[in-house]
Amino acid sequence: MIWLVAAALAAPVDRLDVGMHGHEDLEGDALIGPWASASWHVAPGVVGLDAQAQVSWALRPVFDDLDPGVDRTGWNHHVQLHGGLAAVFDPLASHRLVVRTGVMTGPSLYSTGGKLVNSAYDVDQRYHAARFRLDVAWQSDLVVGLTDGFGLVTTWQVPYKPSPVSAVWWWFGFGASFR
Amino acid sequence: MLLLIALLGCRAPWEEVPFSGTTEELVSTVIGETYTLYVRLPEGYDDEPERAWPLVVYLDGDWSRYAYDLEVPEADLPPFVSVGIGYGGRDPRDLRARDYVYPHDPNHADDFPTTGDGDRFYEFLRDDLVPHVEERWRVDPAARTLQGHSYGGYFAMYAFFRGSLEGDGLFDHFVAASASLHMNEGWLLGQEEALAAAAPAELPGSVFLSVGEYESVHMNVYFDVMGERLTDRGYTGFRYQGMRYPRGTHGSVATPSILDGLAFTFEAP
Repeated sequence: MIWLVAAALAAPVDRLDVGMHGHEDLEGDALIGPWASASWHVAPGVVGLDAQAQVSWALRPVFDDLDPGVDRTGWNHHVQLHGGLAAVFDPLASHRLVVRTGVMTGPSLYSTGGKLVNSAYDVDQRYHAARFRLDVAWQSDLVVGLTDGFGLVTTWQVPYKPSPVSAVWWWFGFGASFR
Repeated sequence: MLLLIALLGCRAPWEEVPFSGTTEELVSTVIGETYTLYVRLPEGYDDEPERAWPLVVYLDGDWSRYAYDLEVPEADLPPFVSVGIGYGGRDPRDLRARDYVYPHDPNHADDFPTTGDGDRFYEFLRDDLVPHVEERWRVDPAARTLQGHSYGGYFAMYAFFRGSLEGDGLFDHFVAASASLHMNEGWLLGQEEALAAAAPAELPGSVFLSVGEYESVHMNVYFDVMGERLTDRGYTGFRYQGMRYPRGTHGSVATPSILDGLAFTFEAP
């Protein structure tokens, strides 16, 4: 977020997208959370180039009631700070219908943890683990402008998974787009 | 394309790769099941006709045999006879749930309705498998190791507690990779308490237990609790090693646990 704010202060943002996103972790569970993306038109035109920076946060609450005698609660956070370059296609040259596609990369923080209580065997413990990794993803956005300065945006992200430990299989978001 | 899919669907992937050891079938008199054994003898076995070798029995043999066939020979481990127990390419899910989990776990009945016959599988190992192996190959009766992963890890821990409580000496060492200690609401912790109450004068042998850092919270907590308790009991002659693999997942820890677990097993006490 600091990176995003600093970049936005350094150069006026040409487009700011905010919304919600969801993604699927290794165990097939859904994580949801807010997402924001700032874009700078590096090479404006019908076919141009954007620099992008984005931040997202996701949470998976875990309330596992598989074993009735055991109380399990947990969480799984995913904070992502990504930047990248995207090709931009603006066929109406009006910012009313914009398609962007490009490669995003940057640090991600994965954090998992929770608590287990098993009164039958006097167990009451917490567990937590966190890790950083550099994620690479191919991202595409579709922006439909409703007015000169406001529109709707949808975004898809397909992460590149260099190892089976990757925690993200797909990423989808939607929200508002401001110019 | 449909033909290709049909052809691929005929055989499980692990049936396509050859195994360098010998494969044979063993019919259990206890269970009435036919098991496939994957046997690998150490290099030089025939050159030392008087030597008895350590025995490693491993579960989920249909796929674990590749670790024993390809990875273990590259590791710096003492030579041993390995015997994997499999189901001959049949879908193992219900069979391994039946054989590796005891008692029946009603909380997992939707996904695994067959759990509950682990006690009979233990008796199969005791009454059928080990006598068969000792009759066929030269193995050291004082150096038997049992290794399993997931439900197989649960069974390895079950076998450790049962063997220790009954004092039958069936296995001496146990390698339990990513053991499903949460089954039956942590029932194996009750077995641990029963063993502590029995207060054995000594408990020769070893247990290696592992988990992946990114496995679920309950897998990690049960791993911690079991390790703490086994360590704190201070059993004479007993060695314990717990291994939490960084960035490890349930599947990714399987092979490293075999290599690290056997290295720990074969360390001089």
